[in-house]
Amino acid sequence: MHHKSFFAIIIVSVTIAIFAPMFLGRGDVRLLTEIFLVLTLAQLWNLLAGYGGLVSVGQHAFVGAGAYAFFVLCAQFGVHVAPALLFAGFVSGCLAIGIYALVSRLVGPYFSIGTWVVAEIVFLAVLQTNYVGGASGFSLPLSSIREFGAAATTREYVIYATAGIMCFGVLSGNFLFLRSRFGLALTAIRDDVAAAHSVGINSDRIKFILFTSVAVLTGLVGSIIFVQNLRVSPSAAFSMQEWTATIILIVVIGGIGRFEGPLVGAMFYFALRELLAPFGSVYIIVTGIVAILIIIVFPDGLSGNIAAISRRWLRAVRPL
Amino acid sequence: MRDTQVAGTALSLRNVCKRFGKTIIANDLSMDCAHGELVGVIGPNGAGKSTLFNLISGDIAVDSGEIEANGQIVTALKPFERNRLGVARSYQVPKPFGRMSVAENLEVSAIFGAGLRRSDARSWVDEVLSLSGLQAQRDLLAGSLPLLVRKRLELARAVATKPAILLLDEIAGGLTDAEVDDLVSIIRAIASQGVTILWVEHVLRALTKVADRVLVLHGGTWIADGAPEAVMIDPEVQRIYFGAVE
Repeated sequence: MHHKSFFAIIIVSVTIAIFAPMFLGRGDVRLLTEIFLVLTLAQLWNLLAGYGGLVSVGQHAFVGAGAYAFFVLCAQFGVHVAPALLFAGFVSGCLAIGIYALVSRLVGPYFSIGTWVVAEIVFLAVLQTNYVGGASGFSLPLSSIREFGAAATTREYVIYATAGIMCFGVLSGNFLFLRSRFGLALTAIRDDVAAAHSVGINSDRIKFILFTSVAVLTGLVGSIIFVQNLRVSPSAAFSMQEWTATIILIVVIGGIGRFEGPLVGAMFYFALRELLAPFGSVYIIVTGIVAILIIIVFPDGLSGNIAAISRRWLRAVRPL
Repeated sequence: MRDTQVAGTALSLRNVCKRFGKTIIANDLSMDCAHGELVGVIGPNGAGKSTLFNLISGDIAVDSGEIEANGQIVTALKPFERNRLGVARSYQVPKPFGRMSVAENLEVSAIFGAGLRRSDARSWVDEVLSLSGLQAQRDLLAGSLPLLVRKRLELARAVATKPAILLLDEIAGGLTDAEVDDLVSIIRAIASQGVTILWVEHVLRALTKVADRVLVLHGGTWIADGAPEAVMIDPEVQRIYFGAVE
């Protein structure tokens, strides 16, 4: 995609997003907020696994770390929510440096299992810590909540806007990053690591930077998610199903290692979920089955196969 | 091709040893290549010619001994560090960046290997494309190329890193006579820019055309070293390499 057309689409989407809450109910705004946050997580995971080859299944460690860091700063130290949000990203990044030191020596599936095990350890450690309320967690104090806005509607709009800024920021940053020199190197690493080394690319350094910066942003998203919930607990904040499995599902359905993959996957996932909402938790079963079917029928993900099919279709309509 | 050239030899191996179990690849192997020299390396199948390249490029570590490239001891350095110091290689089985275009394959190499800025890298990529005859394929995905073009891309990608020392691993295999002539003229053009070239090749006709010197590897040691014509008629080489009966 060309620079101009991409940023034209971004500008139009941002404009729509700014005015959308005027025409939507509070429930819809909350849903959009959630879509923004989940789409951000999906983009980050796609960059990490699809491009960097770092198939982490422990990203919930960073969602939880960000959320807890934010809540602790606000509740225990009375820090204002804006610096607390940034500091949550910083804490998550520091955790990533420690985790990466442990798991970076592991290759392929061992790396994945390593990230999972470490994430569970972080979860269990938080679960045992009475300072943060143990298994039951704790709530964001009213004073911090008010810092987002006195009225509930203002608050929701501020959280919605923060999530939107994150989402469009990461989307644009991702687009520019993949076209930068580091993006080129990352794409080369994705295609062939040994060959990348042979042309002067230091894959260890690039992977470390990628892992850490993805963790910083994942932590930021984590704190915004739980601002919306107003309460944090270990099982919710470190939920592997919500913050890792669902995200992987979205990226794989949409097309892993493709820029449009997470976008297509997230649209598909939320459409399916809303469609099946009246049937309760059946949606998890149906989504799982649909995901398996898509992986079998469209191994390159929806975006990859749609691209191929539309190219073929265009050729058939207008033979050149 | 590098702007800075160091005095002395371009590439030196000093008492390099490498073995895999009982298979001896390098047994106290030493050699020197002068700057701008074009050296052919031949030897029977399984003699360890590709492994020798892996030792020089850093893909495999030596058991003992020392490797000096472009004035620096590189024995303990990683492949990407050696490349930045001027050692570039092609792989016998091509390893293109499959989902990147041909031009992007070269661009990333020019940026990270040669240390060029992006704007400078673009014009250098154009030069390498025309030198290697890949202009027509510049926007194609590397993964979609047929084998012979992939081999050409291997050469071009190594050249894009502005090497002082270029290791070519069997890039002439499967070419027609006319294509071999074409390739030979490309390699002459690269050599004329002062690049030291080590070329492993089974297509001896191609090698003897351009090599200043030919080395023969067998059993972990050099069994011959000299001008191509002299090496080809060496009785030991005839016996081991061509299986001649005395």
